[in-house]
Amino acid sequence: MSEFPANESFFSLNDVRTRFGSKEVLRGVTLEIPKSRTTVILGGSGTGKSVLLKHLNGLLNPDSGSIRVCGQEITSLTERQLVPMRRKIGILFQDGALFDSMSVGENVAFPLREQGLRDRQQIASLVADVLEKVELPGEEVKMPPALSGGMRKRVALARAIVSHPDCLLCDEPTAGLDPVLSQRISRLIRRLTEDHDLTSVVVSHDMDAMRMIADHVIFLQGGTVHYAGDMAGLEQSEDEAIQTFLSSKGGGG
Amino acid sequence: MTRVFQKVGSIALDLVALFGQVGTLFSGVVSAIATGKVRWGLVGQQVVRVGIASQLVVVVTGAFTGAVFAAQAYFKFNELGLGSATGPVVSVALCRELGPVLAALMVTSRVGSAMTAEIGTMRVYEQVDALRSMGVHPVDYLVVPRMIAMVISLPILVGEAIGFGILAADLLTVNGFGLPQAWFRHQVILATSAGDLLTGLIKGLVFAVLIVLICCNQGLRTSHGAAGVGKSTTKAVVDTALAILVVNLGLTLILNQFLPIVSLSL
Repeated sequence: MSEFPANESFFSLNDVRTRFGSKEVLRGVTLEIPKSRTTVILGGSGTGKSVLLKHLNGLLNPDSGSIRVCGQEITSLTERQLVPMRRKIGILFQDGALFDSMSVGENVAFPLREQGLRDRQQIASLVADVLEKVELPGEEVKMPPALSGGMRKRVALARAIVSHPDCLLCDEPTAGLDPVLSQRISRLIRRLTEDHDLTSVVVSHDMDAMRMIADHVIFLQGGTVHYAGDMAGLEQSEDEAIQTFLSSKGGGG
Repeated sequence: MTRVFQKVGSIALDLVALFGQVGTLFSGVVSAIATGKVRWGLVGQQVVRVGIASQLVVVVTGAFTGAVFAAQAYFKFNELGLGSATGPVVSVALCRELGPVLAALMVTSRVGSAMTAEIGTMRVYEQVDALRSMGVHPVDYLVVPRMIAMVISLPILVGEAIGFGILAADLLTVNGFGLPQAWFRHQVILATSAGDLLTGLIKGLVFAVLIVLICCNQGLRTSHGAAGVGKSTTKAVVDTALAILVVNLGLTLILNQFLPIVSLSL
């Protein structure tokens, strides 16, 4: 399935540092994100979770350090050189980032058209198929402003996976949703990850939802990796920062 | 005193940064067009937004400017017995200065502000990042279609502003002040050269590039939510208007070397 060279890790980060003005958001992040598994990045508000996620497909470039995607160093690539790598990575943004001037169907079809698919019937069929998978069948003609928060997330999820990426990045997929919808979205991410053999990276502070989907957990604290392992290990940890986070369940990212 | 120097230094640094950003954006646009990364469907949509939807505002601006300028010129010239100079003066001024500058300023406030607000909102709500994440270069998708549409539309709008300005001056001076229509038109045709019209159109072309570069650049650098979009839009309109006025002086001095005003023989 993957066009990338075989490698145990999908993403490898080494001593990644990023500063915005006087604030150093990432302070030497070193981590490995395994292939074909769901990695959850947890942490409190302002710990750099979303910033870290945006480094994974080159939306942000670090001030220093190395980021390898399936073995390929991406920090030195230009915007145009990043295109082939980005087309293998779908991303679900926190608020969906749907194009308001396009219908649901046009939003979902957008990556297909940009990758050169021109056959209208084939596009319509792929769009209908993926909307079915995210439990929104027949919603092609609706406009994004007419959608609820949960529906926007599912449309954005459909757009992220419609072109069959190797990896799915999700930024706070359950933020702003009630517990029932949060669980529904989490189950959906889990199912899509398994069905499509995806490598998923999910940034969140929603512990209940993340318990359902995490194979591997990374806990960020103060811009560095404070814990990397499984969910059980995190919950049994006696580390003060982790205990504080778990008892409060953190904040937004 | 130190604060004054700090303020001047800060403005100078902002200007250098703006030149750098706009220069980089311009090279990105040229490179995208040169390598055929033009989405003609989006260009068509933008021509409708920029050109067709701006007709009324530009025609009204041109017509009323022509009429007012003709009235003021006639009042003064008539005292000196030079009422017949009204047409040539209005025509040359509209072609060379008022038509291109006022059309560009109106398009900046109507279209340039909308460009900044739209792209800025897309930036704030991560839609620009969404484009990038799908392998779409924001310059190709957002800036290039607007640039081509503006470069096509603004010179035409400038031509319309000039035409309606002269027509309004004609109607006012002939019907309001009693100048013979044939005389007015004869003088306008005699005094207005192709060089005058070409000067206006070249200025329209340059202003089109300025409007898109400054407004899109500002949109792409918007941050901090809805308040940020508001600030960016204001800054884009002010920067573009100032740039138009400053560049216009330079263009006037340069173009007059190659396309000088013909002598008036009244």
